[in-house]
Amino acid sequence: MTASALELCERVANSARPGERVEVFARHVRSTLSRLRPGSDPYDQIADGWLVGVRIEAGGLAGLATGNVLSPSGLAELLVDARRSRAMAPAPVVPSAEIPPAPPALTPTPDDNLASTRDIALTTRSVLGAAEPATITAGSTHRTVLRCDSTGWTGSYTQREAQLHIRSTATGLDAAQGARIREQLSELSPADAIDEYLHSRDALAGHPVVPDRIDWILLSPLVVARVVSRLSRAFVRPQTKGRALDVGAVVSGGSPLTIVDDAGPGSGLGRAPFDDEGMPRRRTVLLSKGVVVALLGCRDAGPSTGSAYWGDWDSDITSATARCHVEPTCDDSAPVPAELPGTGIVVVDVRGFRGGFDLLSGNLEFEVAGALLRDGEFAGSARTAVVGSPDAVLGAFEHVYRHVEFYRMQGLYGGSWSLLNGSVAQL
Amino acid sequence: MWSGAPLRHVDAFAERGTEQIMRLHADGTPRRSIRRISGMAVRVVSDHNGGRFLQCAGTTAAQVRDLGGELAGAVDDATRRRATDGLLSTAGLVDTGNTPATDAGISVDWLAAAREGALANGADAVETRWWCRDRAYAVWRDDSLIASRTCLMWLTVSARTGTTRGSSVVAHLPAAPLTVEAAAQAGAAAAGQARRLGGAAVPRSGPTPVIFAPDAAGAFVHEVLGHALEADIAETSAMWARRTQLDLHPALSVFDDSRVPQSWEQTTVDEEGTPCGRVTLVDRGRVVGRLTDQAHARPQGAVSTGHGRRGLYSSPPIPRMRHTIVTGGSDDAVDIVADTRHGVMVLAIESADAIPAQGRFVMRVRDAVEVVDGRAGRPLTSFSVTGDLADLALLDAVGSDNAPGVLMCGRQGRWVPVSHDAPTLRLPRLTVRGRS
Repeated sequence: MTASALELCERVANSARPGERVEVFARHVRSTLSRLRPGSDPYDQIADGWLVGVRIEAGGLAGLATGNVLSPSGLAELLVDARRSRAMAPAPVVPSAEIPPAPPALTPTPDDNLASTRDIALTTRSVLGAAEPATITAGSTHRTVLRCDSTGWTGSYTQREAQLHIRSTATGLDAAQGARIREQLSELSPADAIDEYLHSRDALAGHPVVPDRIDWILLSPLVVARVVSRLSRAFVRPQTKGRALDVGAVVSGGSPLTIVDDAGPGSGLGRAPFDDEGMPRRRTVLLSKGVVVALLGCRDAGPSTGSAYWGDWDSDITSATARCHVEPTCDDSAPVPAELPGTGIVVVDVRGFRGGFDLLSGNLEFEVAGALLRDGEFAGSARTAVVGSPDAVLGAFEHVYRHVEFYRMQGLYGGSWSLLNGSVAQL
Repeated sequence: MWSGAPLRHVDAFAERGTEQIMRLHADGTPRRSIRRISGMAVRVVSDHNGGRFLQCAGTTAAQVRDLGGELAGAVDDATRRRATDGLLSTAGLVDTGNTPATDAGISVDWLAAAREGALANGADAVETRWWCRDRAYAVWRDDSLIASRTCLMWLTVSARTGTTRGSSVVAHLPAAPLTVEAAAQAGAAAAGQARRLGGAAVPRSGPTPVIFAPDAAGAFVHEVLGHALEADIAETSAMWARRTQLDLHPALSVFDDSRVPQSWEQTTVDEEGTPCGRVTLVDRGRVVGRLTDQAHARPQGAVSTGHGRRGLYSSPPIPRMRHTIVTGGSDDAVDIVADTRHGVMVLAIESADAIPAQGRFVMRVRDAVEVVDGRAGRPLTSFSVTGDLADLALLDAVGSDNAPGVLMCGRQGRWVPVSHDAPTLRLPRLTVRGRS
């Protein structure tokens, strides 16, 4: 498939008129999904489709058109759309020295199938027990990316991703969940996802109380990943509106946090040799010990850090994180919560909104929920607001323990067990 | 695995459309992008071990048929033939009968008018976007074929004055077409909001009477009541579970009806081919109904209310609102404010995070003013409002000043256009939390 599809894309790129640069981007995604939900029919899904984009630059203007049919007639239609669109658009600056050599082509090996996906879901259901009120979703995605342009640059790569997700359907517990994501279905362990789910379920059982004292807050990897997914938006260079943090700005002088976007080449989940504009992907440190080190950019909002993202719905090319996580600050494993002194919450759910995780306005305000522990004893489910300036909230992190777990939330985001002091809890 | 299993039904869905986005940057330079969508899906529901439901999605009928190779052993040959017939029928209808095409030329005038409206009202920088989603689809189900077409247009304006931003959105509704004047008003509204927020005060935190102006009230009802009554969420929502104990204000009645011209997506048939009608969710303070699709109606032995929405051909339908109506009460909006000694009046909600299973909700307010001694006063900075079913039951005023509103609603990564029509509402005890 890759060879013939790439040949088709190259033919379109080579149809550039004198003075034009034509870029063609194609992403093929084949995914399977199997869902078991109490009281409903089992559900299976196979989806197979293309996202195709044609971008034209000429005479100081650029045009963009996208579609989802990879065929000669479909591409020809997009070429016309892109030329029509070009008449309205300013051209981005593209230093030719930044156009990288083509990476070697890879051949996809699609071996994930619906039967395997269904087996993972059924195994998980069997281990968890038929009576447990939870929805189990297993899925696999096989992604092939092709890119070429009229300068002769050509490249391709494949990515695979398998997911297992368990979510409670019991009234009052819809935030209880467990998830695992790996490259292959065979690498998924139902036991790990079940452990995380049961831990979350037990922590959230019962109507949450608001405690009168909090000494420490222990965030689960999933919660840290969700917080990172929100905070990282302030590290993306804006294209036409909005703002980003300034490089060199001190967000939190006393914070030990280092946030990294690392989707560069190599083996591992979510890695790729080039971004959706063909620029090389790399490891970019965004925040180091509370100081802004770099921002993510694409050609339209440069300099490029290999972070261009050609999305599905809004067809503009934007900058985005690809594989963002908080780096551990120590080599220790997460502590046993019952051994932590005083009163604290083991947080398994976080609630907030765009404006509640805003490093730009300095507005950090979100709600966390989980198990309340008093001197090592479980004291029920609790919730509390975390409110403060970026300096206070990021400075409250005391330890980020080892072993980063990644989760899919549009992009890939990672985190590990992290301990905060309780000073940022608003009781 | 399912060979020979009794067939419940096969349906096929095909879609073809374009999305166009035209924007004017803050410096006034234009940009336009075009996206073409074409794809189809087939669903098979068969009885075996309690039933199994399968969907294949792809961009062509041939591709979906190939994917159906994985159906081998899953359904019998007759079922596969029916699925193929359905695909060919839907594909033919969409390809030959209903190819959308929209002239984007007029949008330049709207964008310019919105920009001028904002600049004339003190904005330092403006970015405007025009969106057009023109979509034709066909559903083949139970050997009948249903086709529909929707063309949605809207304009968003983001304006900045100093360090504060304001935004507004105006949609092209069947009952209120998008005009140059409406675009200019949207620009002025965005600039006005940005200007107001420049001198905003931090609200006092704690339990506070909250008045929702009509547009915000519509968004509030959508997030707190509407989502909790979408059948897949209602299965675990506290509101549905406790509906017989829940007594809301007797003047509060809520419906969903997408057939009216005020509905952003005006339609008489949903994306499963089911006719849609008026569904009562709350009747004089009592929660009485849910929004369902085929998959969630059938286990209850009920008929779908016609609220299956896909968002895109490749996603299976789930129950979603379209146009939610809160009937007007007898309270005058001016009197509601006048009767409030100290509180806040919410003009626009930025985002919401409802927790239906617990009956709780958390909303981020973007635009609000203080109410002191029955008068609207200083503008307030962004803050959050939280509450639960007990707070909702305290709703004590339903205005008579219904006004329409629109928003893009995202669930499970699928964004669909929704609209609402609501009057001013007052909840006497919600928790306001502003950062000091």
